[in-house]
Amino acid sequence: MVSVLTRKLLRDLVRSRGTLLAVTVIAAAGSSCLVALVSSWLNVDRAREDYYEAARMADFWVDVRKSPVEDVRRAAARIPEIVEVRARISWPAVLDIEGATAPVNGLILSLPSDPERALNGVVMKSGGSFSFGARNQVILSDKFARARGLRTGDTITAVAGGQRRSLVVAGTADSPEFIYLVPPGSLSEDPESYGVLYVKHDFAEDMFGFEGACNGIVGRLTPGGVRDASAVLGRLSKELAPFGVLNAIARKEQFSAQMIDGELQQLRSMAVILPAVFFGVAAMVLNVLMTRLAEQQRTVIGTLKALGLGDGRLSIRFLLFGAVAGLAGGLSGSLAGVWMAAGMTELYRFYFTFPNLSARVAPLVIAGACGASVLFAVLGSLRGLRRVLALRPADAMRPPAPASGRASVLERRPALWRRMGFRWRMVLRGFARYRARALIAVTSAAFGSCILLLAFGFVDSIDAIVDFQYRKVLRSDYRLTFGDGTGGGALGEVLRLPGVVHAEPVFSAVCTFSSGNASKRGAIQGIREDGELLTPRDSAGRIVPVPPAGLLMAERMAAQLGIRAGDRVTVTPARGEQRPLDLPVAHTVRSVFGMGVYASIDWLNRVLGERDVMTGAEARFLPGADDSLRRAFLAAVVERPLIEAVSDMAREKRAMRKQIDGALMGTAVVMILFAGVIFFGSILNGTLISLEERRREIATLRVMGCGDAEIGSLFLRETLLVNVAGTILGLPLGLAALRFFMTLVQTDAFAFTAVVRPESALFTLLAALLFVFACHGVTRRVIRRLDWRDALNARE
Amino acid sequence: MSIAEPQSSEVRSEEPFVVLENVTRTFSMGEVEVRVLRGVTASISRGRMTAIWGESGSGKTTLLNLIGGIDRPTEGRVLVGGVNLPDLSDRELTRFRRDRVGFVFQFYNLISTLTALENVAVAAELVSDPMDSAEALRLVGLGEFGDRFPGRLSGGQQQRVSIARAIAKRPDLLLCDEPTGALDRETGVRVLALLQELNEKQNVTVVLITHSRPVAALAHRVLFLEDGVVRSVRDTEHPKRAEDLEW
Repeated sequence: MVSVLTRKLLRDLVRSRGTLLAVTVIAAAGSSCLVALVSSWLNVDRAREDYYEAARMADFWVDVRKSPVEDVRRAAARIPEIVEVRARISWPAVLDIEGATAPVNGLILSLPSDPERALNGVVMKSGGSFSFGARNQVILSDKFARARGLRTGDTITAVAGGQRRSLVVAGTADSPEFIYLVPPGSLSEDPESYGVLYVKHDFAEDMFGFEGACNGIVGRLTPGGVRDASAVLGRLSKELAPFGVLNAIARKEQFSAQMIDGELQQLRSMAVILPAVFFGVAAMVLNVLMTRLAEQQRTVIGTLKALGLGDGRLSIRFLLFGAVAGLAGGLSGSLAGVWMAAGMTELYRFYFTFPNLSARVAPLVIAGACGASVLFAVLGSLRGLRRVLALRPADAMRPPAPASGRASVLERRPALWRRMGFRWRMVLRGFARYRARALIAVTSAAFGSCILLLAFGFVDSIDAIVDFQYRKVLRSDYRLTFGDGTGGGALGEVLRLPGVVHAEPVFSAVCTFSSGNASKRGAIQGIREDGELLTPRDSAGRIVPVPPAGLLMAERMAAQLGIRAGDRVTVTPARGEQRPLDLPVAHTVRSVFGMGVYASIDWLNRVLGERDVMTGAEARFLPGADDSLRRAFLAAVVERPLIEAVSDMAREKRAMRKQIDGALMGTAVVMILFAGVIFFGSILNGTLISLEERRREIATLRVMGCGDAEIGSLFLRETLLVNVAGTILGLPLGLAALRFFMTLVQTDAFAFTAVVRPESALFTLLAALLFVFACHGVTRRVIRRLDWRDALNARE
Repeated sequence: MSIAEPQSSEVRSEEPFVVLENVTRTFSMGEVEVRVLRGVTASISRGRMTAIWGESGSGKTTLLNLIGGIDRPTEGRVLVGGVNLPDLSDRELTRFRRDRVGFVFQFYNLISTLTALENVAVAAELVSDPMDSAEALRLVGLGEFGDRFPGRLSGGQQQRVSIARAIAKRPDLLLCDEPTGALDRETGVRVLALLQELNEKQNVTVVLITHSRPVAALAHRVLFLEDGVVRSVRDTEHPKRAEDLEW
């Protein structure tokens, strides 16, 4: 049988359903975030681990210049932590697709004849593996094949290493190495324009003249080696130094792995921060509600105490009230979280190619979300409980001391105060009386505003990066990449391509920078001092001139090497004799993109002992050119054996935009909705409590002839004031949160700067106002329905 | 229907300002219907003080609410200045209360976050030709207390602020619901004297609800209400002075 006290609890819950609903919704938002984010994190993490294990993902990658396979193997064998290596050949390729108006590039990778069991093997998605005997077979990365409508049996033409070959599609496959596949130099995927072409190793040897040679190894390490990967790779690089090490990275530095790591890290941080914000706000809002409940029920509580109800039982009943709201929020939020987790998983399936990414939600995660929600609800009830416990029965049964008006601080400025109408005075004195409550409302609004600004700021920051990179730094229309260092005559060849009106040479010299104990692999971009198409910029977007002599180094790179402008740095080039050079750092620059090092192309050639070497070119195309000219340009490009890759900058920008619009906008909308939940929950809770407390005031004003609108305007002033104040205070909070999240996705290659446009601050304020006015609609409705006649003659 | 004839001979014939015709009011309390007023017919003259006197539960407050346009009758007509209030929309009723009626409540109903003067000003700001709020406070003898919050005023002072608030709008009708119900005798007498003075000097039509017979004796007309019916109407040209009250 249900005890009388339980029945009372249930009735109290039903009576307070409006305000409890506000708390429940905020707690539900917290639980849904927790369930969705933690589940997505676990799902992606599990899918990644399973995939890496099943497809034998390598622990390290080393790119070398053309080297004998046996020598490379022997060098690797001298490192005890290396348990397995596979030598391979990789080469950039341009695909000759008839009638294409945009370039299609690929990466040719060699695989052994049994590609599914190899290190960094493939998981077949369609068609078959390499067949015995057939030589010119290719397995395409599945997403690329689907985007281009290529099927088993189709033929494609690839131009690579000065060779033009027809390849027959044997099948399509995914690889753990390219869970997130983007064209080199880009950040966003574009499956239509870039794919991986797996060919048999002996075919690649033949095609590139690499008999018994390779230009890269992948390998696995012992667990100890994985933990100490950079030291192991350091030793391996030394062993391989005679062959010219272009790059040596551990798994955590590999682009695709790094992107997934960044995503997981973001998920993890979000999974802590977002629910904590929601639960925190829910606890604060509940705190107001429970303190009010303790006041409202003081006579009942006093009577129960006088009747002999102990503090323990009373506490449990009181806390249960809050816990029910927490549990309701936890359960309903978890349900929403399951749905959101499915949506997020779908999004990850779209961008990442995992063979087995399922939208699982572990019961333990739901239990954790409910537990956290209840815990915060109990914490939010503690202040009210303290009042209940402090209440002595004799005091409790007397009516509380009449509420006294309190002068607001603004009253000390009579000139201002006198100009205010009675409504503003009521509002301001109300804040003075209920300071804690006003503070909670302001804090809640600040959190709401923080989330809003975060949403707008994410969009702004990515927009700024796209704009910075594609409008300011890279001002060319096409980027052409040449083979292993070409003479300056290549520029003339570029200028002769149809449609090209201007071109500038680029000499990208892969090297190792070292200073003291610090060492960093990277590249020096040799560009023209008076170049227009590739211009280094500082983070404010100003052009930073390339010095006639010396290096222009990104501040982050300089910081990692522990050097400053004016210092000298040891540069060991990967090409040529690999003789260490002592070069001056002329300037450093705070750049948006991480670790760039620039130099004058002429000076770079000189210090490296080269003459007119270039590894690529930036080209400007005829403005307003039509498709036929672009087709002619691409047809000419594939005819030039020296061109290994061609990137369409406008297309890259579009691909990035598409990805931003898809994923980021979705996230931003969800975040705006969540901010709305905070604003709605906090405002409605505050207003409903205030309405309850001020029924008599409302009734009196009604009797005096005030209409709904006039009474409503009192509440509107109150909510406007706290929410505008909170929103403004939330702006710096949002900026700080944005900066924090940006550091999470920061890698060596890309340092994201948190950017918030002034309009976004304005949008945040407007969105907050929108929420305030939407809530006001509900308040007006409640006021209209309020039975105020009863309140007229009640004793306070 | 109850038609109560005036019992006194000291009747001054005047055009009635408030006319109640066969007014009933039924409240629905869940499954039970409670008939609080059961066909009340009565009238209140302009510029006079009228008391509605009866025991608790007799329907006094319900009747006052109908006259003040706070509530609507279930049946019957409530004419104030020739306008039948039940015919008015909610908005029009709000306008009517704003422009024509001043209310004084048993528990004062002051806004605790406003000072005495501001409480009066709230009402004054609602109408186009109000009395000066400070003047209204002076009229009730609280000219010095304008900057005090209600919490720092005695019950009698609060009730006088409440009266100042009501008269600041220069209402046609001042409705007082047990204005001395929460006051001690001495304070009560001061409040009633004030109401009497306002009626006589400012010519405000006052309707006073009371359960106290001596208090009712201050009025020119006394409507005795019992079980939702006007049992008797007593008129006099010479009501008792508040200062002479004994209760």
